[in-house]
Amino acid sequence: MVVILWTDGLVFLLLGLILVFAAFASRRPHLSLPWRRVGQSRSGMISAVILICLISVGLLDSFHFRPQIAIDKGKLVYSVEVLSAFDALVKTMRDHTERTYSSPFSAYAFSKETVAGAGGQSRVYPRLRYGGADLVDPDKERIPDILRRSFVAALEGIGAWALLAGILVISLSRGKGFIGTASTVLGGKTEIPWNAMLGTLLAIFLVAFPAFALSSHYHVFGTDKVGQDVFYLALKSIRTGLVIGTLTTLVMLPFAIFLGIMAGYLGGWLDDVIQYLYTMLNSIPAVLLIAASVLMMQVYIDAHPALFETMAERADLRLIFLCMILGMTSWTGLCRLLRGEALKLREMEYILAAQAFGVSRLRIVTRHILPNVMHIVLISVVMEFSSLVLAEAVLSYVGVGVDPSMISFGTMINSARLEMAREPMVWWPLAAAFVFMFAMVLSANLFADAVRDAFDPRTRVASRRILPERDEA
Amino acid sequence: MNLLELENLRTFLENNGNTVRAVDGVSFSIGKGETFALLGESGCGKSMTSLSILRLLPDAGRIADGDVFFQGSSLLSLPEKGMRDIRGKKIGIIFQEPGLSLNPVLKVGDQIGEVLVRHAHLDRAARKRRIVELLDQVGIPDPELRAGDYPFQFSGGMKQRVLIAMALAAEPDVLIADEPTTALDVTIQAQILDLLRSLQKKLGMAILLITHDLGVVSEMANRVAVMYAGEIVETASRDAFFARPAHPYSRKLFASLPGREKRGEALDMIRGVVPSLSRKFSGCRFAERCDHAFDLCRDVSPIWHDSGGSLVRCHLYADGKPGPTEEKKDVAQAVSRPDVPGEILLSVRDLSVHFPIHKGLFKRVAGRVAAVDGVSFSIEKGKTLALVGESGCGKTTLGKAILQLLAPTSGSVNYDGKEITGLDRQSLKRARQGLQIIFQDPYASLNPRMRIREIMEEGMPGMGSEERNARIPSLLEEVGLSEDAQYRYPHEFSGGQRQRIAIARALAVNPRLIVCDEPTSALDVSVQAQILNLLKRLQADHGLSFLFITHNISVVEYLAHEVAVMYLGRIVEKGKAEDILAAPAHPYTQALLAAVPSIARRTPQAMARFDLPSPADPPAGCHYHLRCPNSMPQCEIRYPESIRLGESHQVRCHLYGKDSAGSGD
Repeated sequence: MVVILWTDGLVFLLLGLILVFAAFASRRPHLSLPWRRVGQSRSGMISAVILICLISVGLLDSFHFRPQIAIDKGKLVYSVEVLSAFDALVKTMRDHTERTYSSPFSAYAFSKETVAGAGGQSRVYPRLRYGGADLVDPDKERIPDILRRSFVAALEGIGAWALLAGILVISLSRGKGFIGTASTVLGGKTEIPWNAMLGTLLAIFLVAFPAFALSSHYHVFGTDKVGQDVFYLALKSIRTGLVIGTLTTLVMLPFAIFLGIMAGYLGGWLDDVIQYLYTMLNSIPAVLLIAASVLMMQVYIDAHPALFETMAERADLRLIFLCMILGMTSWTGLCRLLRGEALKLREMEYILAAQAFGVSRLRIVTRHILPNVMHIVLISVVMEFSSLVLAEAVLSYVGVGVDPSMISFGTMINSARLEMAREPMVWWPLAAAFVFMFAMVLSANLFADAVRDAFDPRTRVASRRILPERDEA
Repeated sequence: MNLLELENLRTFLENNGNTVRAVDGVSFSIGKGETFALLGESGCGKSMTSLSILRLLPDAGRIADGDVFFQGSSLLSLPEKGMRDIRGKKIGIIFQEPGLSLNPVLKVGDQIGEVLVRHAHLDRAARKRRIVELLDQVGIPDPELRAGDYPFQFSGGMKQRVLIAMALAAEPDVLIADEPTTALDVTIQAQILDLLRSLQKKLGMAILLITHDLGVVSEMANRVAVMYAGEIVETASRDAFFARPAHPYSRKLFASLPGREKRGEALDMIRGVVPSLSRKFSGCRFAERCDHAFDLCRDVSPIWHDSGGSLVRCHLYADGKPGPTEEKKDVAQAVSRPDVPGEILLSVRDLSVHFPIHKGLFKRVAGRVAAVDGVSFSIEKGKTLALVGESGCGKTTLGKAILQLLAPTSGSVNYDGKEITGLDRQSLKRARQGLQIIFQDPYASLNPRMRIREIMEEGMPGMGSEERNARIPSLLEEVGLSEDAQYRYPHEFSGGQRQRIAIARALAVNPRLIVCDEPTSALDVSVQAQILNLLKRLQADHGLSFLFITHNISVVEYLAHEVAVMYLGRIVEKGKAEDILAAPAHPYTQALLAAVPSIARRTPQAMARFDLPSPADPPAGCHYHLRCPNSMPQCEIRYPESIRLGESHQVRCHLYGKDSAGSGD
């Protein structure tokens, strides 16, 4: 049974909007030109490849369903557990739960246990249920086994990469020779840095293919306290981070755009009211506001357990609310920027010309002001994304973030707090969360830089100033 | 020996793989104490030439070939450290935009002091004395006090004086003045030019004057070089150049200048546009716009020829040939001026626009800026009223208030017999149908994110799509653009073409009165001529009335029927253009007319003193009395009444009052 959670719906709505905009922009040169500049940025496109890989994991993780467990008198009975397409894909990783901690690639548990054996009870490191289970003598066989499996998977990765690269070159060649096109692509002589993107993809494949191949026989990032595979947890956290980073902006944008432009364009008492509103909101510590709202939400959810069929729905609702609350507290910065821009645009002569024609205010706002502030909106949305992902981690650490049952970087870090204090230290959950979050935030930041460079007119002033302003057709 | 010498200088700019040949083989030399003018339209490479001399090119620029010699030694082979001793000390520079060339957080005295620290080895006290001396030299009153002021406390003209003081601080041998007065009002421009002349006389420095203004060249230069598309096409002494410009381009520049003597005829235009400097040229660069071009021009780049008095790069002067024949005026193009007294289309009575000054926490109204203060005038059908004045006098505010884009504080605007102040949005929309506006900056007046078609459709809300499809091409054709322009975006057009689009947009509603707010001041002379011709033709064809807001007197002379002179929110003189231009009555009008650099006369005349006072705190009595050479005691007490001098000529000045002894000259 397919389950559409609120966040799934919104994520796909957002994806749809982006696709519609892309189709719309591709036919309009003034909209597509800055994106072409993004496409020419080497670091931007490298980070875009990484982001796309992360996003596809997140999207796979957003197709939810409830598996069918039995047929009872002609009626299908579904499990109370909500799974995603991603869960089904990595079923082994999900199902291979140990009893408790085990370190990465280990075949033994992390701590000694008392085992009843032939010679009475003894305290040993027991073998894991799944990690390296098919090895007879892990001490000797483990490393060759890992290497062999990695090597085969790496070859598969190269094969998959070559297939993709071949498809790309064929689609780019358009009748020209395959070899010639391939050499221009790999030589970096194309407008879009395909060679850098293909290089990144190859690196990702060389890491990801072995990691997935090994995950069915080992725990690549070890297991956590309750024996869950940490690699699985980290991959599941990607979706949470993406949802927080994107849906929050979706909540924030209407406030920021509407209020910002109203304040700037209409001015007067409305401007004063809006300014006071965001100044006030800014003076309340955001964490306090968020904590209060989340706790209120929690009380409501606890009081109405009948509203939710499954745990996942509960956790999802809480995630949505977190997005909303974060959105409510983070629109002020963009609002302030847009107000300033609208103030400036209001005095532009083309706005005056429109007024002289008697064009209505709404039309001036939608046709003249909004398109001319969109670059600011876009830049700040992309910049905001990474800070929101980080904010989620902080809030979950404090305990007011996502539902404890929801897997996220924040909850991983939160539990890692105690593990770090153990002797010997359990470092892998934190390391996994760190590596994935770092990759996501860094690539988002680099991509945001590329977007800002392409869209911000100020960064291009220098080159424009020195050129004679003669753009004759 | 020549002080500064350029030898075949080539400066290229790299832009995304395109090489822009901004300066392409320029040679000239400047002697001691000489003023050498580099004349050309925007984008021809004159500023790049000056930056190349000082080696201050932007990152994308490089000097590809040629050399620059200062006192016989090459500047291009100097190390950067040696070049720093040249900049400021040997060659000083002043830039166009005085507002952007001073650091706003440093006192002006300190900024001048910086130059002295670098180039003159003076102790603190001596440096201070020198700063005061320099400020005094450039005519800043109270130099001791003013040295401690910040740039924002200076007006534009005063800032330019400070910049000149900075450039002169180390007593350079050559001063490069890159459009030094373009951003300034005519009255201030006259002061600055006068200052440069007297300083040159006193200090004996050479000036490389970069300008697009023929009038400025005429007043300042000893020798002239005309630059076109990265090349110098003509060099001559000032007298020879103005007596008989040789190159067809130079001649066209003269012919496209508006002026009194050209009233009633169409201005001469240069066909087409300046070619892009990133392409390869074969033959003469002006050939495709030249009326005299023949086959040779398109294939072979001309060498220097002597035309008798000037050196010129034109095939028409080869082997001592006499050059292009004077063309006959195209009579058919001339626009007739029907001079029948018509009915009044727009009349403005006692219109005032006051802006409140807010202060303090609760935005208490602390004062008022009377941007427009009791202005009355009227415009007849099919006539042009020119509104003249310095920047900051309230002309633009008045234009916007007439269209109700700004709410007037008091007074009435009567358009075609109907009062249009104080109407609600709906009835205003109807009443405003016949009123339109064209703005100064063609880059800011078109929404960059809309196609031309969408821009023009804004003015036709009531029309169906078929009607629009018919109307838009015809409007574009009317302003001289092709039909397919409607599907393009504004950034694909040049400044002149954008201004045409703005005019087409204004015409979309069939207006009867167009407020033209400095429509040509951001454009080059040759493009200005195209726009002025277009406006004149539209007036003749459609019987349009224009309120032409400008500070350019030659444009007024060319196309105005009536003139109103505005000073600090009030009209100080108005009347028929012929009367006012021939016999200006108000001392301010006289100063304004005298300040215009003119090609015909060399000696500058009496000019207005000081700068425009702040409209927030105008002087008591007659606003002009502080700057007026004929100021009388009563001027300080009472604002003069309006006095009739002729049938339509009115002036507000005590010189002409019944009770005054003055008679007006």
